[in-house]
Amino acid sequence: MYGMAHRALRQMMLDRLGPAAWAKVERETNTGPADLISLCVYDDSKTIALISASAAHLGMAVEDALRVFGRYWVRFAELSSFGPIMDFTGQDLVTFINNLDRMHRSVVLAMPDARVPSFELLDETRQRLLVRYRSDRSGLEMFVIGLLEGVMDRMGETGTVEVAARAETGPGTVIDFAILLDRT
Amino acid sequence: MKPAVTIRESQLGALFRAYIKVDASLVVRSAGPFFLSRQTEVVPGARLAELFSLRYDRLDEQAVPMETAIPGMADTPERLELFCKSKNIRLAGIVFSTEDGGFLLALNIVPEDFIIEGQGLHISDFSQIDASVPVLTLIGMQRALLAEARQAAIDLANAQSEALELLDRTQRLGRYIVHDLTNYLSIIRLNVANLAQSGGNAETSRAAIEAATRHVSDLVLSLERLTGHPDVEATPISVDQTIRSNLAFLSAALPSDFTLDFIGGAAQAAVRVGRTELVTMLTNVIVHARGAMPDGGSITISTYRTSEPPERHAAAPQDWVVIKVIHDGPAIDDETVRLMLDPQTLTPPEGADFPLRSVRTWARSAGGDARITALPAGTDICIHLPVSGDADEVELAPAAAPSAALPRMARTARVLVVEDEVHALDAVVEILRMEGYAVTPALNAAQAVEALAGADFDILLTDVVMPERSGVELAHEVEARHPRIGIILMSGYLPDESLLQPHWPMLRKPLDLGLLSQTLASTHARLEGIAF
Repeated sequence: MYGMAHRALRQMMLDRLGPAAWAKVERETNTGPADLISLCVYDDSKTIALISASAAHLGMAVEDALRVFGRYWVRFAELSSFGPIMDFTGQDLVTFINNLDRMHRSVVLAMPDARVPSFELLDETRQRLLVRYRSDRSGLEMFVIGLLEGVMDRMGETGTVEVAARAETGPGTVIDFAILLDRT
Repeated sequence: MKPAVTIRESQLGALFRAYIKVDASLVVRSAGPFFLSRQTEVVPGARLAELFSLRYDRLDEQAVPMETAIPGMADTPERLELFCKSKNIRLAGIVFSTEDGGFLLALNIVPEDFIIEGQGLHISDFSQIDASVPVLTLIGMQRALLAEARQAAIDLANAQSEALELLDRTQRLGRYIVHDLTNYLSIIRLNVANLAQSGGNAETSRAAIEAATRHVSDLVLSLERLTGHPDVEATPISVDQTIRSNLAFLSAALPSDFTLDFIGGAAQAAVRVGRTELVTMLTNVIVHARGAMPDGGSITISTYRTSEPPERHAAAPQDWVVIKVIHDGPAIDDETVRLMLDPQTLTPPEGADFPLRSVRTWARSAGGDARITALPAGTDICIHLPVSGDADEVELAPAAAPSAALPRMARTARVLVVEDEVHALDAVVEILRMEGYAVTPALNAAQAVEALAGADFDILLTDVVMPERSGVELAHEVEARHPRIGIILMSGYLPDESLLQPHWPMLRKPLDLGLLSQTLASTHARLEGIAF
């Protein structure tokens, strides 16, 4: 993943447990400032190690930590210096999801090694959005649920996210997520 | 004539997000998704000239009238630019004529200044083939990275500042500990030698070694804590028990014309500091008091427990143990008091205030503080330490105070030994007496000067790091007044060489007894004009 994720994780740990806990995570995972450059692409094993170590300090299962982190990630990106790009991507749920792939395609121009996921809005009603997530990674289902919850937070929406369908396509992941909105 | 290509409205909107269809009078008939997704004034029936200008500065009177310009551009490759009059929006494209006599303005958004912030534009405002999206995104990323780099530079500067502060503090604490450690090692080595020669006072040496060994062990723990050893944490100790059981050891730092009293009022209150750190700091305070009281006097150590915090911990809701050391020596002024404890004052380890400065540094590292108050007669030194519980431990047996060394037979050379650490002084004196020297001890430079005024000496053997006046200062004075006296320095530090004379031998602590003996003999031989 790219370093912005590492920075977000660091900020989440600083917010929740303080600098001493993050210093321990850094020691345990042999992480330093060079692993925290936002637009550098790092091996996934580094990100997984950081999340696992953080989960242990948070007293959470890794899956739970992934979901919490996904939700935090959106908030972090919004408040960081990358906030304008978030605004540019969209300021309502449908626009944001529809524009994610175009935003990612632009980002990849600067980071050719980045492996970005794809989000496609398959169906839209007032109270339900069906989003297809595609990635060549696996094991990030809970992270994506957290991300979608974070996007709802950002847009001032409430609701739940659940897995509607999973497709077995060999390597990688294709999951349809249903966003059930608390709209009347 | 059938058009060569038929384009549906949805396709038109995908290619030209801000297209506008107008009739021959330039009245809007329909508009693209850019306008539909917003509450704009570009709605059917609106007059184009009221919404847009052909000039960047919106000064229409200086522009070609829109009714002339747009028909003139129709079906040509000429670029049409429209500037929204009410918003900071620019549109650009080309003009087609339509079958009904109107015009299709095939327009897209041109972002102002290529900066995302504040324009309210979304990715979907741009067509799929519009390069503005990656351009704007990359510019946004570049700006974000610059902000990140700026923050990284600030973080780096802060980290550097903290590291330098930590290094400075570590160096200061390290110097204090090395100073104390060197003294204790000297005591051990000299007393071991004393025991081996079977001629000294065995009980004195045993007690000194036992006490010094215990203190050295604790100092090592202090060093490990200082260097961040993760597994080392001080066990809470009772302040009263610790002082009481080391009272004889503390008394040994004072000549016979001093009295040392202890009034323990902290009961079982325990603090999380090293036992020897506490004893060493009290020794430093007493040694300093001793230096300030050339005519002797009384020193009282008292303790009590209080919830009233020291000044710099005003908001800390917890109990404190206060250790007060009061002496009745000459008064000092407030400025001297301030300088004594000011961490910004550069005082070398051999400076007179070194012991007191180390007390404050130590107290603060333990979470407390130390202050000094000038009294009309004497000084009040007050050390606050945070209480970490109550102790119920059994103290080690108190170390016996050393008894007076037994004089041995004298030989020709008369040696004046100056050493502020009483056990080290006793040990050196005893060893030299056993070697046949006539030895006079002095605990500081003042005592040494006093001894020199009353007797003749062949050799001055002096420690360098001492309160009040350093051994180097003493050596310069002695050489000036008594040029025939040979001078030997001993220290755990290498003093500034520019302050030394090349003919002064320097012995490193812990002392190598063979080298000590050899140096004394060669110095004496040189003074006597004997080849050695």
